[in-house]
Amino acid sequence: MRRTIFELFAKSPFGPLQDHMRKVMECVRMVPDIFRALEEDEEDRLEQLVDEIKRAEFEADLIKNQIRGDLPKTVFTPVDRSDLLDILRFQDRISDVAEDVGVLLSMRHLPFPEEIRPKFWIFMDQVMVTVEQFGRISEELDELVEASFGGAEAGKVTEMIDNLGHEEHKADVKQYDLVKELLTLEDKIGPVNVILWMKVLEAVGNIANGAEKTGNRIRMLLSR
Amino acid sequence: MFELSLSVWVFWVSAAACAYMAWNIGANDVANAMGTSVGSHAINLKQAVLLAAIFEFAGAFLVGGHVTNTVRKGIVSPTVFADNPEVFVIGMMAALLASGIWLNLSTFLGLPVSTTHSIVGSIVGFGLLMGGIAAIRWGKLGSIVMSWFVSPLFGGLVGFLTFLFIKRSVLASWNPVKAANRVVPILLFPVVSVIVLSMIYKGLKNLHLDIPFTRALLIAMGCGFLAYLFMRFFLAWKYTHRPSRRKEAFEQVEGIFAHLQVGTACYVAFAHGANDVANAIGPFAAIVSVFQTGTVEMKVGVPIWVLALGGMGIVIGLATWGYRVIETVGKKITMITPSRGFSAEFATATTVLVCSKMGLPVSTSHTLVGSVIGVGLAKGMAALNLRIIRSIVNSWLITVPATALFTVLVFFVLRLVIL
Repeated sequence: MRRTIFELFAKSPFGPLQDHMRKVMECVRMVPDIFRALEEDEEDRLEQLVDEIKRAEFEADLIKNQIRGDLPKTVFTPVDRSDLLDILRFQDRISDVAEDVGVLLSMRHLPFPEEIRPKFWIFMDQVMVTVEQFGRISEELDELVEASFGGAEAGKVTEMIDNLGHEEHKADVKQYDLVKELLTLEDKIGPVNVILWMKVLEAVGNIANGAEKTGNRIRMLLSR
Repeated sequence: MFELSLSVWVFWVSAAACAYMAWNIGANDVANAMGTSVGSHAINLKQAVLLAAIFEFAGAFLVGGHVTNTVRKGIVSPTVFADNPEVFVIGMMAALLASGIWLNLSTFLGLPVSTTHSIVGSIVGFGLLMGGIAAIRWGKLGSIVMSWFVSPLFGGLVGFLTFLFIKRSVLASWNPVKAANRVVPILLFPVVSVIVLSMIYKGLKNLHLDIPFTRALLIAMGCGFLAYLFMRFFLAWKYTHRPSRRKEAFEQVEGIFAHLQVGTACYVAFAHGANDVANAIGPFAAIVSVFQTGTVEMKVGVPIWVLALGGMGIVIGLATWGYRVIETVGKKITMITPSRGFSAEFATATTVLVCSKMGLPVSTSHTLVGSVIGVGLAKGMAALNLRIIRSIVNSWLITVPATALFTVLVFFVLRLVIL
């Protein structure tokens, strides 16, 4: 058969970008489960979850590489190609941090003191609210492509991204409260555990940070 | 001129080559014109074949004469051959045969193919060989080559503006379904008006039904208005459910645009037939004229039976092979949605039809590529592979000289055999 017009049409990066987001979400949604395992002192379950996070993170990497491979410079997209690659990079970092949380928790047996549990779960829930809001924004990419990144649809997504920023800020505030609480426990759990907890909380906070940053990268698609 | 038996022989071989070229256009090229409509599921394969058959034939028969005239006497000046019309006849025959063989060869080799560029290259080749530089109408050839650049660019511009209009008026709106119900019937108006106008103004001259321009325009606009009303009521009747979720709303908007794309599918087929039929029948029309008058003058128009032969050839090509190619192309172009498909097809058909009326042989596929890129520049396409631009330019750079040389070869063989 003759070479025809279909050579003109390249594979859309937007669907795979959403696939990547879903894989990242899979990683992040396992993070609260890891802490639940820690809380209930189920070490085997914890190990198992950390392995699962590592696997999901690796799968996200594969999707990332596939998208990069499908976007050579000759492919023309409705938004700047480098903006898309930026979104991908930032989005991928979320799953990296989620994996870090798992790795930190599996390094040594970390005590989960009763005193920080209530504030921890408030913080954790807020991080998940932030990340889920990001997921909803990414799910709008189909509609943004259809509306060609403008008009009412862009307005709606802008609002969602503003909201994402608010949620991330709430997570920051809750993280601050929690860290203050944690620092009072130095005598009880020892300085090494406090520092390790600090690192863990920083990583959990960075999940929400990453979601916000990626959301703001999506905003770049709209403002131009 | 030739002896009688030789004339009969030359005539039938040319007629067969002409029919083969027309068959080839129907079999391979129509798919590019219809593929976007099938790919976006605006029409199914059966509908595509049926609409293509009707409108390719109508375009070829009613409007095909303009470009055919260019091919038969506009590129090579026939008067240069006034003293030996048989050379002119053999030259045109060589051009037809060489183009036909070249199309098969380049398809086999996987080279980019364009019937338009093949036939123009062939005719230039034989003209240069037998008549020298003076035989070529350089002004006309210049405008043809210019139109190869301008037609994709113009298609791109129209596609860009059309999609920008749809984007601003429908897709950006808070209630895109309501906006689509209002805008889609309005967009059908120019599509139907232009098709009808090109059919009845000068088109029907072949059937001795010449209508003055103002009356033709009124009739065309009347038809356009009827189509507008029909679409309005049809949409009001069909879409009673107003989706609340945005995702569903956009799906319904595309569904509404799919109805509009039926109109542009006809429009593209019509424009394609009007332009590309000349690639098959142009040289044959020249041969027929010489045989009929015994001179190379070609004062009378293209005989209608030749136009009908070209139109029929395209339809047969479509029915025997083209439907499969349309199916394949349609399956591969699924990423174009009806709102985008409409914009690109409208731009392509308008550009190609304008070129047809101006007697300029252009490539419908290349214009479509330009139009889709235009839609893409208005942020309408998720991802386009711009490498195709290189393959288009290559097709010009390869096809024209290759067919010119190839025609020279065929010409020598024919002259050896015939004279």
